[in-house]
Amino acid sequence: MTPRPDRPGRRAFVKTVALGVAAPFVVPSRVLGKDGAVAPSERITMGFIGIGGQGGGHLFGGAWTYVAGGYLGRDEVQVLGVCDVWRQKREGAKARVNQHYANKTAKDSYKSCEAYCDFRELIARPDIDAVLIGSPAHWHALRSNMDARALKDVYCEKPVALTIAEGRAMVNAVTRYGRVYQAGSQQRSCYGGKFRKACEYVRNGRLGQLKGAYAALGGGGFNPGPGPTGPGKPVPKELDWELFLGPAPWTPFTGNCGAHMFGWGSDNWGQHHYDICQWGINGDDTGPTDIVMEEGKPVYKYANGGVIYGCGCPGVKTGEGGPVTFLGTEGKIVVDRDQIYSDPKKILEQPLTASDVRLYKSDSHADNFLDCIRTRKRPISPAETAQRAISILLLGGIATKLQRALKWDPQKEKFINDAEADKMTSYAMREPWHI
Amino acid sequence: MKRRLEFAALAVLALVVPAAPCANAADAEDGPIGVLQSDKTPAEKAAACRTLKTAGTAKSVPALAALLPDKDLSHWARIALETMPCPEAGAALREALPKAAGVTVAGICDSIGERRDRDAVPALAGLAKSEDAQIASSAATALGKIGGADAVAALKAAQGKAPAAAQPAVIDALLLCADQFRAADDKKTAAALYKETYELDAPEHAKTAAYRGLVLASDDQAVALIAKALTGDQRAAQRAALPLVREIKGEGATKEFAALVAKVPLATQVALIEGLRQRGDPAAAPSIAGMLKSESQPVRVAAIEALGALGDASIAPVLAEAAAKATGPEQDTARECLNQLRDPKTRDALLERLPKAPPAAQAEMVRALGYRKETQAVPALLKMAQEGDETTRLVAIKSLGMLADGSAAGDITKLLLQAKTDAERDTAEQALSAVSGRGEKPEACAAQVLAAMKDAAVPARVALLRAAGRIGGPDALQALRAGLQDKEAAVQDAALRTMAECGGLEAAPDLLKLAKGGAGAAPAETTLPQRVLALRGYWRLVAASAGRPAEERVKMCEAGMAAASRPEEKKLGLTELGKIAHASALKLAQTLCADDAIRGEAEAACVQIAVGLGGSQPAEAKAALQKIAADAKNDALRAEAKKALDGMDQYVGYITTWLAAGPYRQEGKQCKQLFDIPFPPEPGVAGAAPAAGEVKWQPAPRPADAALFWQADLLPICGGEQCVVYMKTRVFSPKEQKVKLEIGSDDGVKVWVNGKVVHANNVERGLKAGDDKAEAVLKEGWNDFLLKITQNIMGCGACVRIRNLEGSVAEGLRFDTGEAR
Repeated sequence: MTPRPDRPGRRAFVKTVALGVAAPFVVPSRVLGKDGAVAPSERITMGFIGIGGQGGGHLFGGAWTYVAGGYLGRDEVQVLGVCDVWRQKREGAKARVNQHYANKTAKDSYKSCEAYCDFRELIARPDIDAVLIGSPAHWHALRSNMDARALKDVYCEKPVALTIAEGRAMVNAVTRYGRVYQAGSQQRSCYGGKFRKACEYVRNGRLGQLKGAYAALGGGGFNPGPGPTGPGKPVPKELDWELFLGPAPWTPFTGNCGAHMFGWGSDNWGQHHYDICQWGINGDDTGPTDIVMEEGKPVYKYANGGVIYGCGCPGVKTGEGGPVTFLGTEGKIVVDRDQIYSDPKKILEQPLTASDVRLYKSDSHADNFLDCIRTRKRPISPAETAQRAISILLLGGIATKLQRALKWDPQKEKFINDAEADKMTSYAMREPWHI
Repeated sequence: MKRRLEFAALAVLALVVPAAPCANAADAEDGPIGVLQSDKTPAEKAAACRTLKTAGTAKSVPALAALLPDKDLSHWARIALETMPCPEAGAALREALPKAAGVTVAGICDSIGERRDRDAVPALAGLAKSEDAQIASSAATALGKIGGADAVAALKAAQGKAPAAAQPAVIDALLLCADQFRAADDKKTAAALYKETYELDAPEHAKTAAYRGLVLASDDQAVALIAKALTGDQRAAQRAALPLVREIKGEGATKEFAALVAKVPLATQVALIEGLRQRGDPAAAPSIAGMLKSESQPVRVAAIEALGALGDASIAPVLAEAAAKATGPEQDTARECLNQLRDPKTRDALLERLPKAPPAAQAEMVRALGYRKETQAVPALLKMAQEGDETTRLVAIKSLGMLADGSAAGDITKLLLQAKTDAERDTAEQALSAVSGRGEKPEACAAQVLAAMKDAAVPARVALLRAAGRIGGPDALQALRAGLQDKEAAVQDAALRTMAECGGLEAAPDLLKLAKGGAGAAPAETTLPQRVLALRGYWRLVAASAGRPAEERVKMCEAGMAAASRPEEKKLGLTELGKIAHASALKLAQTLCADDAIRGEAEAACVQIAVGLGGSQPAEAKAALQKIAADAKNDALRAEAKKALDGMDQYVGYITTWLAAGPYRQEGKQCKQLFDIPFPPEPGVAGAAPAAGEVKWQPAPRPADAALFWQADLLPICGGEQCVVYMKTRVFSPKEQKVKLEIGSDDGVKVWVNGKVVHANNVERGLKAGDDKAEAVLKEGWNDFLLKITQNIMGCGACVRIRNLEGSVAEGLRFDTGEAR
């Protein structure tokens, strides 16, 4: 085994802590947002942590940003910092951001964006209001926690956590410091409102008695990786491998820098679909009480009678992208990003009435996040909701590992008289990281 | 499906699950302990720690403890020890503190903190003052997580002594201790600690957390503290106070917060209104309504949204007036909130205010009544449609169209005749069609509309004719036919377009005649555009005739093709022809392949038809596909035909046409018990049960995924669990022969051929093709097949493929459900 290098980051860590954090004003003047051009002083200032496929998509524009040009293209946003452990990614992003602003202001010398390898330096900047975390999944909860402590509002990609304990710590930090937190569960906002429509019809009893919500995917969770196996490959000079690993167990560089390197099962897509199932069965602020294994798949039973199946609905074609299927005594509603349909058709053909329950409406996840920064409104995918959604996936992962039924106390977030399962709700972080 | 885990699933599981516990915990533990105590590689020891994370007990502690000081393996040992409930694990972590160095000590402190180990407080107290900022920070955080008076004392002792970089962690830890006092209901101690920390020269985040804690620990003073923060200039306090507006309970609190709305700085008003909305207490509504007069648009929008969520019926007129005054997104918000106001008295509130409201607000109220489908508001809407200003009249007619039924057709007809503008007339025309569709006698509505045409001016006659045409019925069709002969060109045009766009199947002959040139149907000669319009309308009717017998639809296609003079319309016809899976459709399409102008489309139709025919008439379908695969001009089409041929070979022999009946249940009986209980569809069932002839058969649904066409998806038939469903069909055999049945079912299956059971398997499982094999004798001619499928939970379905005994394709089989034989 190649001797592990001294832990870097200490200098930066000390520096960051010593700097402390200053506070943006509680409700900035930009809350009064004016029509037309937004003055620089009224823009929401943002930093981007992780400039890979997902984070880069948010910053520059991509399928998941829903606005041409991404956050960078928004007049109401000023990008002040980009952070990535890969030098070429952060420097490339910095150059692109600054060029964008130079073109926009017609000032070649216009430079507003800095590049950071260590996110702690980025969040130490008092002039940054909000961060978007698009880094590898094993960092999500810890970074959300630290960003909230630095008084940043946070948009975090899914999965928002890889253990139930770190997810709860994330919620506590967001609450404690009064931050706006939006999870990257954009199915609640985007795709033409199909998912909201499905959930509203379910909530209003249009399927009769709900028999189950099918999430298409099973459980998942944290995978500590192989550990210190062999010498690995030389770490590229462009990469800060220690900061890539962060709280994950040390492992030699092998060329794999995947966002889900320390996850297993449905940790990538699962949260999206469990989130929608949970929305439909009215479970946003609670969790299942029983998790049982049926045909090798987790089935989650809620105190309110709701049932979520960690698999596709029989007879409905299922892939990573879903669909979510709600099955009731009167029929079913199938919804994914491209389509929504009911069987029988008439279920969705009957419009909702004025007395029907309506759900939180957002037509753009990014706009909702920015709006909530301005208004301090609760976002459509707040921390507690995100924690509950990811918990379903993680509970399914634990049941899958143990291959037995589990009883869960969703208030205490502990298993009932089950020390073996409780052990799997958290994972020690690698020093010096803790949450 | 079955509940037991398949072996295959276990195998997959083994790949994805890193460290599944063994059935025998002792065995699971001994192996890894041996590895840890050997000279195995660090990677092997790490893997052993992973196993002990779940399998480890006190027995593993010594071996794990030995790794704690090792900077490379300490983390792996902590992974196992941190969550181990036995006290030995805690002791091992404490004892390792003096043996480790640097950041490794910090890690051990972290694990001690996670374990909430009070016995570690003395050791942590010393480390919290360490010169190493990482160690001091981790020790302080651990003390915060452990909590209690001793931890507080240790943290206070570390204040000023720990390195500057660790001081924020010390303050955070004090707040964690305060949180624990509060959680234990020692609010006095908690409040004192929060207050003390808030007043320190602490970082903003800590002051924020401290103020939040102070509010939460100050029952009687909580509201006052929030008010003080919101009206003051301390940012940390404001930051903490705003979210608490939605968290602190009590109606009294609502009123006090609501009273602040007008007093707080403009920049805080939106957030405070949002907080009040999220409290969900209607007591805030009056104060929020006052903010509708704010000069700030964001404040007004926030107030509208809050009133939409909190307000009762009394707020409805207020929202209507807000919508009337606003424009753009603000107006949209007000309208949406009004449309969705849930108080059932909303209608009465709107109707009461309607006569006295300003005209612009009247229009908003009328609009909302329509969107809300307030059917009892029809008389008021009719009144506004006559007496309102121009905007209100138009909106009222539109709203009538949204909620009235056929009984309002006469009144709306009058409105159409009285229309003062084209827009009013058009809207009334649309409304007429809509309300007539909601009546029990749409034809009576059409009669009313047609009667009004008599003395109407041309624009009104045109509108009424279009409306009647959309309503439909024999009288309307006659009127459209008469319209084609009308002396007014506008009426003629309306008649043709309405017939083409809305006419029912009865209009098909008329449209066909028009398409051919209008002999006997239209004046003199029809123009090319009119012929094209008519033919397109005709093809629409062919598409709409999907429920008619296939032969009839093919004849319609044949006639349409003969009438078409241009390739464009022939291609449209081929689109419809391709959807008819019938031998005569295939024949017609093959004939049309000879026309070079439409050859590509005709060949595509051949492929589409042949694919649809593959299940019932495989020989004809195969021949057609082979011809396309060999001769088609288009490469892609040849490839498509070849792909379909390949697929056919695989799926030849699957019975693709089934009827289904059920579900059948018996109280308290599970699917396995139901398997042998006979229900009416079974041969020989008599007595108290309904006779087999009364069984309601319906086409068995196929899965939504077209690629699974060879299966029947019975879940929509089951509608639940623990039941049985029957399927039946007929199979034509060109000769008497013994065949092999390859059966898949979810769950159990019993098969009868010509009344005799040839297979039975009472299982719980998912559907997999060919799970079961059986033999059966087919007689020459038609053979009756009956299946009984049991449903346990989740999915339900079945598939049957017939092959020769050695597995080759059994030639000449045809499938039919019986009715069309």
